[in-house]
Amino acid sequence: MYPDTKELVTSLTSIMSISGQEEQGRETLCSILQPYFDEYIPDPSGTHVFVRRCGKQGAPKLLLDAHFDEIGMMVRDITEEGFLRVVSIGGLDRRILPAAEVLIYGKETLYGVIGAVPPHLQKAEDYKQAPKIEELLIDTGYDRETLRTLVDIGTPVGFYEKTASLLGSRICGRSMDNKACCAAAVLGAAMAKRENMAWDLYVTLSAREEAGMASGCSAAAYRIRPDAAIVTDVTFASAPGVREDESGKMGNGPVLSLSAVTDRRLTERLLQLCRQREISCQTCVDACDTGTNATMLSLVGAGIPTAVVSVPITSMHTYNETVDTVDIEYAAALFAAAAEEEGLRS
Amino acid sequence: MKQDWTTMSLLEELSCAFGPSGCEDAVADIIRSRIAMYCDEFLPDPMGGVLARICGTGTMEEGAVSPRRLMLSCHMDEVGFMIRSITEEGLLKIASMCGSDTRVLAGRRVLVGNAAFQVRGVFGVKPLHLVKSADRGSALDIDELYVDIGAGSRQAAEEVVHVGDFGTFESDFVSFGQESGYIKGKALDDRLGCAVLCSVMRRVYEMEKRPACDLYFAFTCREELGISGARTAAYRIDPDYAIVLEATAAGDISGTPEYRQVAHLGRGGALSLMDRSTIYDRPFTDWILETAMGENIPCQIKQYVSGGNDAAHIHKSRTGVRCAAVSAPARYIHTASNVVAKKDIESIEQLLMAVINRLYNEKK
Repeated sequence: MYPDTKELVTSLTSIMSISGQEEQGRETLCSILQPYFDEYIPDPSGTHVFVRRCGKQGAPKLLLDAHFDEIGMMVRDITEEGFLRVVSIGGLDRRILPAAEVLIYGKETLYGVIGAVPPHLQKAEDYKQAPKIEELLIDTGYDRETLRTLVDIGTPVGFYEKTASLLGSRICGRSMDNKACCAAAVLGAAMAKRENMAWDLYVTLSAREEAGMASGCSAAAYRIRPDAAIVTDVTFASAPGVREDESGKMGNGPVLSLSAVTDRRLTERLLQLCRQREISCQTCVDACDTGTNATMLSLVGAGIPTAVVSVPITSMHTYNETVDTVDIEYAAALFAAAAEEEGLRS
Repeated sequence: MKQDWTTMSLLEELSCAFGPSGCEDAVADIIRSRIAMYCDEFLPDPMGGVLARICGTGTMEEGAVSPRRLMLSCHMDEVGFMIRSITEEGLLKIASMCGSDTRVLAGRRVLVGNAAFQVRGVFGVKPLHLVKSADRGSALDIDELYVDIGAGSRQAAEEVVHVGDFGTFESDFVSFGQESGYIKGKALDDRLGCAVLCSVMRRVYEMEKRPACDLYFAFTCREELGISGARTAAYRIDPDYAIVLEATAAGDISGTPEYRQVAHLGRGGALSLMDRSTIYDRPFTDWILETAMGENIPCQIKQYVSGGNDAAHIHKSRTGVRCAAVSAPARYIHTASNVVAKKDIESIEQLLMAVINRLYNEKK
């Protein structure tokens, strides 16, 4: 029984998981993923660990990591006139913020609009500048007094856009980074046939990647002590302004990272599996850094051989990140194949 | 039979409708269907506007002063863009019709197509990670922007959209804030004026008595381009008085010095004395203000000389028209997220009704 890819992505993106807030969605997450896993292990780091067992005694452990957190903001002040001031969490792109719509996760979830300076107060040169995060005002339609009863300093603020369809199999919306890959991991676990599985599969939907710490992933991995790991995260899709050799083509399958920090033998095996099973895939050179959890993960304990399998998206770190669900499905097929492959590391 | 829409439900329907300047047919169709039973006739408008007439009695009490023809005007179009070309990869390059601030486009969800058919797209953005840190604070130039509809190739894109097709924001109509007193949507500038005028028409038409003068309701095209359909509408209607219903940038947000604020949300319609293209008729404006005060209807004076509207063309029509403008204070106009106060919409509708009621037996 597989979940529908778009439905799965939609339900995962609807769970607020701004870095540091990953545990809030536990109940919803568990209720969505429960049919596909044998066990759920909460982790003090905020990481959600889901296990699918192969049923064989002493089976090796394969860790499949997808960070669960998303970029966002946090309230730092309420102005006299009742507007919110914020700081950013993760790499917020301030070029897309004027008039953006947000949700404020206070005592109630409030709707808000990021203010834009009216045109009569702008000079021609202002139009060339993106506003600074500290200058932004969020308009909630509340006065200061009422707002103070609903919103505390430190309240998380996230983007409003829900998942929507474009032409063909493409979808857009907030937090495809990294819910698209969370969906690929879950779908992969669901697709693996238990009778064929050679590994116990640990899917970690990990915390605090966007905050630049990789702490959720490495803490959970330390507890699990896997024999091999695959990190799945989004990568750049080919688009205007993005070099072809630093990106993947949308619709052509997951992008396997060729890097000095990942395990080349494991990566080669995955590429071979793709060829054997006729799974579309591509490669990309990330010489020194994959920009993912992989570096920290490979250093956990006595070391974990780690590969990176990415899903290409456009407009990364905007509220309309765009992804092709076909790429999610190819990635999932590869994860299922890996869990069934006894010789994954030989 | 009375139609069951309210000003607010109609505003939602109109806000979500597709109507960038030059492509207002979808909006016009909605308006025509909602008001057909509440007017005596439609006037032809080759520009694509909707012009409707409610006939007056033509008989005035002795000594009464009344206009012969009062024109109430609003515009149907919204800011948008046009598809200029389609790339090999199936991405759409655009010409903006959005005013000067293109910063509000990047990352947004849009609809592209024509009045009958649209597809969803997204204004793609080069990822921040690949932008040199010195450039991360620079707004994206219109030439860097493109719309991705998910086509993947020029051929696939051309099956659904064409060069010259139109585009505008896709944006939910949201009630929010204290006591859900605010709404957010696209094109509230000036669908708000359209919704209020439709309501006023229904109310006037259902009253037992008619005003002495003819009332003309004009829903015009292409205001956002400055090439106003109001110019030709005013020529045809030939009014002696006109009231323009608009939305004006409020500027009542934190950090804006008081002397640069234009109007405040929640304090009623803003009456213009002067803007960048019109000096309004003072006795007429004073008379409207006096009407508001007499009936305790919230109303304010627009406090900053900025912007312009259809009055620019109407007041110069034929031998001249006495013009007034009532604007709903709106935040973030010309973006996907216009914000207005529901109270102001009610106040403006009330004010127009009070004005029309006074036309029955006004004596000087």
